[in-house]
Amino acid sequence: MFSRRPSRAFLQLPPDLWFEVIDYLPVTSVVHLRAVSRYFDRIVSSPVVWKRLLRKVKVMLPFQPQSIASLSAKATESLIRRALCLNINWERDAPMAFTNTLRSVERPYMIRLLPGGRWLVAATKNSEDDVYAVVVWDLENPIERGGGCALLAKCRTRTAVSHLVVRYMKFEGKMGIVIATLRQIGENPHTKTEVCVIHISLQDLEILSANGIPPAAPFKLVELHKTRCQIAYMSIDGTVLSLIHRPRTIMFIDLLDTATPKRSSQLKIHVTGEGQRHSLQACKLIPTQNQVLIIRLIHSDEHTSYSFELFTFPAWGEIAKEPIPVHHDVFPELAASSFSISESTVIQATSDRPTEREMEENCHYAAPISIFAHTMGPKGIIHYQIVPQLIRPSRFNAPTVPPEHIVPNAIGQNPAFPQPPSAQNYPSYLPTDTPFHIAPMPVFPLAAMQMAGYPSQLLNLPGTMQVGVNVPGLRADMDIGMEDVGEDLNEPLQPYYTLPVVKKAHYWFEEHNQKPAVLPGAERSVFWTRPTETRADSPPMRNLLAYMTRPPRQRQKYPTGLRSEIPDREWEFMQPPGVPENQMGMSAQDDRRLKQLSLPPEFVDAVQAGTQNAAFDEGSGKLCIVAGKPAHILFLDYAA
Amino acid sequence: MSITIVTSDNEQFCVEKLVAQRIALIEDMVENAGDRPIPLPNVTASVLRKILEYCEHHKNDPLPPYDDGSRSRTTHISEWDQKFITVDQEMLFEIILAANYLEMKPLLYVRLNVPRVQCLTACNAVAGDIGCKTVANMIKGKSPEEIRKLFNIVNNFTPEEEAQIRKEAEWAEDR
Repeated sequence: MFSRRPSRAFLQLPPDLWFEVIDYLPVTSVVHLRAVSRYFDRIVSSPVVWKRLLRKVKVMLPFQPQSIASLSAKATESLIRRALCLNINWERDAPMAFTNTLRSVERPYMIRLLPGGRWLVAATKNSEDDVYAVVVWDLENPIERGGGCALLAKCRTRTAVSHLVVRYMKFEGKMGIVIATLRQIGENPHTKTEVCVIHISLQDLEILSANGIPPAAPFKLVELHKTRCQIAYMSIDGTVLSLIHRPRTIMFIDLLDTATPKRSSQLKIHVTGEGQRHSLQACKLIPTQNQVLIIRLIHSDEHTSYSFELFTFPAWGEIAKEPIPVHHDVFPELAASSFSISESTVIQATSDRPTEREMEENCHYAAPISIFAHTMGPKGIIHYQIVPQLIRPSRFNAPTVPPEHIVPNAIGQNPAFPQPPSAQNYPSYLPTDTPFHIAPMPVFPLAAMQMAGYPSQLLNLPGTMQVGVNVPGLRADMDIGMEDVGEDLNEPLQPYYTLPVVKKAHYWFEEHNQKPAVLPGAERSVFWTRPTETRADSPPMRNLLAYMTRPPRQRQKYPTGLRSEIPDREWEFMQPPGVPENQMGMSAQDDRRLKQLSLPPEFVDAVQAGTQNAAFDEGSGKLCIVAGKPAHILFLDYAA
Repeated sequence: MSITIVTSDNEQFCVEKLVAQRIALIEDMVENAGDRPIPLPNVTASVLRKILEYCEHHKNDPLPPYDDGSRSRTTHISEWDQKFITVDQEMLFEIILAANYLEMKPLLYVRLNVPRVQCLTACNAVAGDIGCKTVANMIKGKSPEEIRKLFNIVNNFTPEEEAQIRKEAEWAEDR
């Protein structure tokens, strides 16, 4: 009945129709199809196939700083592969990792991973000549295949740095990595703080990665800022450098300004309550809505509390004194020592022009901001989240609050404070259903909007104003007849972050005598703990935990024979920290969001000898730990 | 009102205009042909009969839902369509090819001032679509070897190439 040859019509089917067929296939079948013959290998190697698949894969994708359009088929495939592998692996009871040790004479003491997991920036001290530097590692070096890692670039820093912030940013027209370092200079009493911001383009990094020599020096100086103030926190959001000068000032510097000095603005936040002091802990600029999220601690003789507040971003050149928060959220019942905030920009959209449906369905498109509070009594972690709504700015009317409801700097003036409200997160003087009093429109300066990390669709840039429909296969010469499509579609949706925060979970480590540190992510995070008693710079790691914001799906089927591959012997884990209660009211056994990560024996030896720093990228599933004596970078890839 | 179509094997079909209007190519040709029969040199009688059967059955269907490319496509096929497409492999691919050639757009909707954006996507969802779904269903869950057997494809990889591809495909197992 069957002929030995394919049917005539089968052979005549044009690639376009095969793309249609592939559109209905799951990833596994697409990969199987490739292995059928050379013809199908060619068809499946077309970018169209993988870009369409990208839009169907409903998992968080590794961030990549270039547009989807510029990706090759291979790169898109690897994006999908990483995302799917990581998604399954991370939901296992014992996620497995490909491991590697990054050895170099440049001894790291602080590391940061760029979203996407390809670039690692480390602050180092050379073991031979004692020179301090920041270095850039390529974790996916194409020359050394099979997870090759290579140290590509190095920039001296003179002395040790105390803060390190890395982001993607476009500078002088080139997409690249911006590295901000903070260090003390001069001798007491003439100590100054120096913030140095440098930039290296991805183009130059690619050249270095291919063993080439860039045409000019790869590192460019973006900003050198010196101050007598103590800088407690540093962040870069979009193209703005934010510096917290304790006790009450936040300074913003426009990194793209070409003038000297660069234009800046300040917020001076006060506290008016009697006998109260405050300290600013962390801040995060939300450029798309022209607001700043500020976290501060309020101390009085009896109590310590903390608050999350949203302030309007001050115009360039302005020093905003005693500003009134647009909204705030007070947590009077607990004291915290520090906060970790996830980057809200690490979430990769599935296409350059996501449709309305994709934006709404793909909850990863506009990433939630996760805030982890390290509480002091009891010692533990509380996870808060701000989940954005998707709005159309010109039509968005935030509910208004009558002026009498707005308490200027409410913590200070609140008559109820410092009486701690009983178990209530939201004090009664500020009704939770009236979160903000004005509708803050995105009026952020255009120059500052040309930023990296933020997907371009989120910004109303002239070049990216788009119709929110995407017609597959539409040729440019066709008359689209857009006038028939409602004007609704002409204005892109954008995320809008507002308070109050949602408390997702808390975990106490007190009874285990452990102190946790968080490598925060919007959806996936890593905690690592050290003994409470140690004050060493390089304490032994006691526990390594994976935390998922959402509980994992119940999977019926685990690939067999995988769990035993990483032996968990010798790794004397403490019992998982007790989970007394959380938002879901689950017991510790049921709460599958927190689980232990195991390490290979040689890594266990290293982290217990001393752990200095760690970095995690939730999108690519790469975890790096600086540990051991002498310290090396332990590299774990949970998506390999 | 009816239209006469002549297939590649010289068979004549008399088709109701409402049915023929679902076929873009015929619709365009009717304008120029006047009363003369419309030749379809790329379609045989047996295939055209199937396609007309489809058009006849679906002539009063509403527009398929708007597809913006993000819809996770289901491979579900309605009962009638399933029966319609239960043909041998040769015929299946003939139908897909012919439907693609004829581009069965419900052009009617253009006249009704439905935005063309919708028409363009709607054309994807007619007969060729069911064919592609069926082919996808045939491929789904099969190993490369089984797919080769299914379509009588010769494996023209060298053993090295095949090993390489197999290695690269490992990640996709059990997804």
